[in-house]
Amino acid sequence: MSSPTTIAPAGHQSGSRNRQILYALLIVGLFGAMWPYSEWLQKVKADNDLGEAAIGQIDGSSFLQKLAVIGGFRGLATLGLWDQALQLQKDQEWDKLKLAVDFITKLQPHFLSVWTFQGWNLAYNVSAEWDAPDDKYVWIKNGINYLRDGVAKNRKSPDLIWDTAWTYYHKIGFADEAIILRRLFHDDTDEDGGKFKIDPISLDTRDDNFQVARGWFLRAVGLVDEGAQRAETGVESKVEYIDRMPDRKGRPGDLNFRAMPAHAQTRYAIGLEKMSKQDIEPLFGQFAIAEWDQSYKDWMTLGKHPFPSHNAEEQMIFLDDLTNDERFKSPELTDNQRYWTERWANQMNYRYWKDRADAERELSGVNARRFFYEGTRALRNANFAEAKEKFRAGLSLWKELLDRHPVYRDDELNQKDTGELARRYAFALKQLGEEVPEDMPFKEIYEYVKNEPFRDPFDQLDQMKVGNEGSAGNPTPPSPPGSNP
Amino acid sequence: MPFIAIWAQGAPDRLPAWLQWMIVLGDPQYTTTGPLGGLITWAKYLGLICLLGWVSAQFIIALRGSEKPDPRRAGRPNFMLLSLLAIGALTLITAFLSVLDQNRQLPIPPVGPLTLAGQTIGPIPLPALLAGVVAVLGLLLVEIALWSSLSRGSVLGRGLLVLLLHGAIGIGVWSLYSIQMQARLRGGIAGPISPPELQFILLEGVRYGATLAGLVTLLYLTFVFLGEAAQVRWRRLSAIAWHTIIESFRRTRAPWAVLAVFVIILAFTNWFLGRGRTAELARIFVSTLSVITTFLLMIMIVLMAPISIPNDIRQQTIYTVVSKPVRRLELIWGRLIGYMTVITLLLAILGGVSIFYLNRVVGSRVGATRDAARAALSEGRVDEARRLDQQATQLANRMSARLPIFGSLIFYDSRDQLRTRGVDVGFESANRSHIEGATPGKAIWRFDGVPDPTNPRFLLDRRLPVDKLLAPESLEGLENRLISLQTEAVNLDRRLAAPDVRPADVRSLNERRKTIEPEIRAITTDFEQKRTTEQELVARARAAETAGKADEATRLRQQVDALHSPPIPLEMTFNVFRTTKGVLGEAVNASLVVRNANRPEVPESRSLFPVQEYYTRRMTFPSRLLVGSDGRIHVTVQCQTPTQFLGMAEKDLYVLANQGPFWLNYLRGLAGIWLQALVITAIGLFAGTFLSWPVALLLTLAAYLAGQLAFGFLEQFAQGQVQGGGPIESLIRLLGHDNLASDLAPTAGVLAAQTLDRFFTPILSSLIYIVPNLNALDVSDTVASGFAVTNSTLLDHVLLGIGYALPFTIAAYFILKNREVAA
Repeated sequence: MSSPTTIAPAGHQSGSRNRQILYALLIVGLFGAMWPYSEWLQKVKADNDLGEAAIGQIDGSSFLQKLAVIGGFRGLATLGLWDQALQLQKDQEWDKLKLAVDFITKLQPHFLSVWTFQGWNLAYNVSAEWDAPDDKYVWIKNGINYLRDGVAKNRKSPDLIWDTAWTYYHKIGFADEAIILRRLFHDDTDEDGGKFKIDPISLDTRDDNFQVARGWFLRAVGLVDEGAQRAETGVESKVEYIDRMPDRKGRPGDLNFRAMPAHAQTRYAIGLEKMSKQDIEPLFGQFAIAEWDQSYKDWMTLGKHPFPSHNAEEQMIFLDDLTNDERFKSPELTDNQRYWTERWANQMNYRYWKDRADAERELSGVNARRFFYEGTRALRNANFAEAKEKFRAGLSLWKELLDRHPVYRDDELNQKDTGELARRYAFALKQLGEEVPEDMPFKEIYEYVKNEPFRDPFDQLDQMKVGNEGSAGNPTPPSPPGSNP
Repeated sequence: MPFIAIWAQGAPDRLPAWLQWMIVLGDPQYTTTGPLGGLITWAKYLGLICLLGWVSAQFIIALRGSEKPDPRRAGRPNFMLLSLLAIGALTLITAFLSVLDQNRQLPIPPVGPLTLAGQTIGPIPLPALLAGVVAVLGLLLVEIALWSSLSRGSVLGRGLLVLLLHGAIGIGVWSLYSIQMQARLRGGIAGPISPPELQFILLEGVRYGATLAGLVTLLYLTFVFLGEAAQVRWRRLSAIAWHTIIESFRRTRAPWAVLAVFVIILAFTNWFLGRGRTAELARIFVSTLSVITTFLLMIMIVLMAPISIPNDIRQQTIYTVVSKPVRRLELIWGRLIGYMTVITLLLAILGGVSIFYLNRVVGSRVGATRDAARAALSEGRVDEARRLDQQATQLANRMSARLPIFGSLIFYDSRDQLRTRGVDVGFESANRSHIEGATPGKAIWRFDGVPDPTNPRFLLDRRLPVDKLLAPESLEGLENRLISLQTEAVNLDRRLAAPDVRPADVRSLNERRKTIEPEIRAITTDFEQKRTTEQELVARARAAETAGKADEATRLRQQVDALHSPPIPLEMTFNVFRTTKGVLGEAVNASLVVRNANRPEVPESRSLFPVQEYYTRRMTFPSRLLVGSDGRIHVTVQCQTPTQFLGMAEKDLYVLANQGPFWLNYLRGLAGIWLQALVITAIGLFAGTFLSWPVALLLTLAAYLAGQLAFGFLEQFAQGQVQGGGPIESLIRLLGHDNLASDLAPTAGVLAAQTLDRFFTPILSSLIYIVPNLNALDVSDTVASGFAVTNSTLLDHVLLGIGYALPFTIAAYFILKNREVAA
């Protein structure tokens, strides 16, 4: 474009020369003034992890967009896009919604709440709008990838990492369709070079969402241990939040935050010993023992972590003390420490989880689980004689094991679990026309739960037709034997 | 007012013809049907703008006073200017009083009631009275301005026009009087005209008259303009156009910048778009490319068009040009042609690159996804293979130009009662409504004569074009023609046998009757022959199958298929609303029945399928269903899974007439961008004729943004549907964090704001009608969804684009003509 100054009548040549010199001086002066400022800015950026380029990786599209929508208009554009995203969601335009939320983060990559909210929105809300489980899976994956993208751009934010881990763990592992979703995860040949299934700690590809989730949880915990906090931008520190920054996830003293790696590992081990993925056979033996052993170690790590007590920060609380009577009652601990140890350990049922992992990592535990699986399978196939044998063998082993683990045995969670196994045994007996023997293991629990059938939502044998044995299609559990005399 | 209602309730068609025409020509909101209707509406609005423009021009001439300043009058105040200021002040006072009245702060009681010629009027609120006074004074001032401008320079044409304008207003009032008389006659009202009736006749009459006067002005200006247009020569036009092209490439270099930026953006597009779902990839890529193309070209034209003429004037190059025998209109049109040539060139390049890019990036994805599906199938991942295949199919469909034929949707609820809508399951967007599973609830798409929803007395023709869907020489095509000829023959016989047949008709009917017989015979022979061939082929194919010759049998079956018309494709998209989770992993099932509504004896086509939400499913029904249907086909959809709901909207199911190539459709989409550029160029040139370049640039930019982004909002604003008051009141609410609905406390500031709003809002509202509706010209969404942009749509848009652009160039001509460029 011709600027008004360049085309001037001939008489103004000298004036234009003077002006050119003036402009040149101005440019040089401004650059000089900018130098210290940009140095300072670089330092602030580095401190707050707000740099545009991680090593060897520059996001070209984001950079270009910022170039196109410079400066203050960025906020305005983001606002417009957010508004558009809300409307697109109402209009059920899911793919355009994803495009819009992607654009928002290209413009504002360090606005953490956007990543958190929209990642959750895609994985939880949008996926729920799709009917077929494989479509749901695509959207959960979109949400997780969105969060992972956020982590890549905000490497010092433990809570964004935790959100990623949580979506792997909870949205895939605990959905109504978890059995199918976990199978889809198992089969996923990720188009992005398999990065989706990589455990960020061991850098191995995993076929189980709980394993990948554990890696991400560990990464978040590790970052906090290094002293990282949620990256605070200038805006956030000026706003007075009801839920203030230090109270969010990623706080060093957060019990639930630190418990998640152990939970993920335990869920993985539990899932291993049943048909928790559609048409994938369970695994027992040394493999299962090793995973339960890892689970036990994870719970111990949590138990040995020092948490500062609420009212006296110099007094450290160790959850594991509650399982060690000698230490718990020793005079080394103050009353205050005992109070908080008991309160926090009970709050998260620490003793149950620890004892359970301890019991299940034994060979007899794993073998008992194998008998239960085979027994249930035989039951679903109306092979009652085999079911009876398997359950009897399993329950005897189980009884012997649990008697050595009274905490696990007496917990209500287990009573429901074991009671259901006893009920299945009794059902097989009833089908064979036999009476429930007086010496049946766990008879007292059986009496307690026999009218309360329990269907495990994460076991295909309880929930769906089993692929390779067509007759096992009855999704409803066997009716309780005691109900129709 | 009851008397308005009398003629408004569908009565206009019972008025005398001349009054009906008066309504059509005088009321901007009422027009006839057909293409003429649109043209008349356009002319009426244009006429009103012309009238406003012309009267304002005369007013300005009067305001400037004599061209030769009278030294004796120097220093004396200008009468016109003073009067104008006085009326302005009075208007402000009126607005203020009315605001006070609205806030119940008016200390003065209403005037009256008055008794005038035996009639009681009022009581009239003071603001209304003042508004009347202002209106009368304003009209008076306009009258003075019109006549005094005439006194300067004796122009016969203009004088005649002023007389005609007054005549038009008189006719308007007379028409309204006549309409009112008709209404009284029909309503049985007698006695003298009451004051409200008089008010109605006068106000509406002036409104009608103004519209008529606008048409007269339009006619007058068209004559003046045609005189100029007749002088336009292509040689001079092309010279100016060529210079414009040279200027834009050499001096501003904007086209190069557009190309460079486009290439840079394209290089990075894949980075952030490529990760989308395969099924929707085309839609996202095409719409993004369209947006980028539009954006770049518009920015270029917004920067180039409005500064061109002001630059010429400022650099005094225009003197050289106007001293040559170049018409002013040629200055405008030449530039327009020049810029549009540049735009066309750029569009061709950008479009070509886009099509190439889409083919490479998106087109290749179809094959890649199909390969992945095959690989998944071979590894036993059946579900994934199915999903990938569906995604590939959907992508392939979006990368084409599908021509849909839509039916009319009605519902039956779970008690089998007819409904216009299904069940509302509480979605925020009320677009789709639902039917309940395993109940008599159903949705029926009728391709038939269906009642017009806005006027059920008329039928809309939604029948399927059987001739286009059936191959003419196929068995079905021949049979269909046979049936329609036989039906025609029967109808002819019936008409000939009717007692009231007119002798004049008998001959032509008889002639047609005679030609039909040989036609029927010829087609019957052809049909029988083909059917025999078919039966033979089928028999041979069976023989080959029993003999174990599979290849031979397949070949024969293919020959049989060639004799038939291919099946008719249907596409549909549904959504699912679950009230329970149902059986894990099992889809909701739906059934689809296609029925020949003209011949119920033809067996219907039934199918049952699992619904996959948000995917477009393509199914077919046999072409024999169309035979003898006269295009009347009913498609019934039911949900078969208990307790679940199936959601649908009218456009969710359609018959696919054909599927054209994508690139041609993309080019048609570019035509939409071209038309937008045309309108913006015309506005830019128009703005450049009377504004300095920065202001002209801002005005063009504002027109573009308003037309592209804010047209819907502006429309609401003009119709007074926006909550929260006018612009200044809204600003107060915004700053004070007040919501839109609550009443503001009547403080001095708020009252002042509301007064100003009341003063300016009508002016702003009327300006909004000049803003072009650029969204209406935009067809990128249709292209991106893989639907064909039809010729008629394209023609509509071309007319709309010219309808916006032409008046702006003509206005630019008139301004340039009256501007003292050579001074």
